[in-house]
Amino acid sequence: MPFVTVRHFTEDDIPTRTALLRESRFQANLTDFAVVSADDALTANQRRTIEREHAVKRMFTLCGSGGGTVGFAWITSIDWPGQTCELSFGVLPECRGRYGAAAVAAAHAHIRAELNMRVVVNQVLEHNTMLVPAELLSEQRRVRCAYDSYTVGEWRTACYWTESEQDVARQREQAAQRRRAIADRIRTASASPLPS
Amino acid sequence: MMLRGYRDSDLPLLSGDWLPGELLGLPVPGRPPLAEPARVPAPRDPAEDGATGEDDELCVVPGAGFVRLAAVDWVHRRARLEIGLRPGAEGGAEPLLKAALDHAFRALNLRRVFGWVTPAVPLPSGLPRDALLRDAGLAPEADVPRALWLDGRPVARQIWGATRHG
Amino acid sequence: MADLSLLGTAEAAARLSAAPQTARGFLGLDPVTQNAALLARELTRTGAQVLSADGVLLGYAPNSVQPRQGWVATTSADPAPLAALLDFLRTYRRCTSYVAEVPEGAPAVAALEACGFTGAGRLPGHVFHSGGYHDVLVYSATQEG
Repeated sequence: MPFVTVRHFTEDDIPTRTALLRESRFQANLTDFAVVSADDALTANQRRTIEREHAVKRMFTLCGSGGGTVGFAWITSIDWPGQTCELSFGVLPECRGRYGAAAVAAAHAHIRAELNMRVVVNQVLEHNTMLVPAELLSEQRRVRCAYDSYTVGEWRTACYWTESEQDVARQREQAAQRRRAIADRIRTASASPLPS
Repeated sequence: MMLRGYRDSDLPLLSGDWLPGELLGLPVPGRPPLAEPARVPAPRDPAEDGATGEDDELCVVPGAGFVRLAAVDWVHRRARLEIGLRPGAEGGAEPLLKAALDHAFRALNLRRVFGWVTPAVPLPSGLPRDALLRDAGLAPEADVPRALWLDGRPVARQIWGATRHG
Repeated sequence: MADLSLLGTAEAAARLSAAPQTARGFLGLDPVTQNAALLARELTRTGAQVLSADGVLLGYAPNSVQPRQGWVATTSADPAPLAALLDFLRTYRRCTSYVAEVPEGAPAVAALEACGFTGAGRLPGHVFHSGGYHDVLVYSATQEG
């Protein structure tokens, strides 16, 4: 998986994120409010988040190995006493295939390890399999909410699920098991004589 | 002991003859009449631009005193505890201290509470401060020389703290 | 003696943001979790000042209940910039004692010890970062007078 780092969202990032908010798949998968908002309003909105809304919303810029921007993450519905929040993503179209999964993982890791969040609420519209594989989405469909959002002319159904520290530990253990299994297969294959 | 949220009518509880920022602030006997009283700020409403005030949690026991958890830090999950009791309410020190820690740990889900203690100034009516603090689960963590200006000279202060595990 | 220059709040916040890892715990701030706007707000709230000396950032915050005591911070293990700050505070702020709170293992510990600071205690689990709680060390130094 490519390496993705997380840093604070700054004023210089505003034009890139504004363009992303208006990208067609972003609109369909999250919200289309940016299309009906003026540039000035979107800029003022994002600047307000940077300068004043620390208690209720935080935005981050996700960077690839060269330091270039691959996308953004933001947390909302922050419950500081309860250590929970909702996490949202937007990955730039050209980076989705290469960086999508790594970007999601990096944002999750950052808000747990540095902001001390313990439970993360995920919301994904059901048709959106861009960052979460379809089978994981159906497995994760703990709450399915019809008529959740109206975006780009259609009502969309959303799936909601929470990820606790236990879930993260279990995922880490599953990943380690997969790595061990692959290593075992490689060892077995290299130990057996080559076919003549 | 029941704490409740601060209301405007509680303002007289916020200043008095205890030491500024003291963890267990009781009226100091023999304080010079011209000495500036200690004072904690009343909570501010969010500003018009939507920016919130400082992260302070202020509770009172009507008529008796206040409990302030100053500069609540939600990442480090800690706050500095400050208590101020009116003259005559000294007997409430022990239950109020416990109620304050309970509020910090259970209602606010904080992990750590700490505060300033000034050993040079004894509590009134011979109250055993160290025993009260230890009994509430607090322990001394640091000795800071010259940390408070008092009666024309600097005096040392200690930092006491309690951590909730799990 | 290193030349000190006093930074404005906005520039101080920008300089701390530019070196998030080395400035963790600087005057109790954390540029990894606090963006430049939040750092600036905290500096204003505590009345703190940030100075720079040869690329090293130094911090000073007054003790509101003891005008002769200053809370200090440095981003470097080199004692020279910190010594210059203490000299500045003694001369211009009439400080006679200093306190520092530093995360365990921070480069500042070496500078503090070389400048005559001694351990005053340990605050257990006082900060959360990198997925866990860590202790903070309290150091103090006094000058006669």
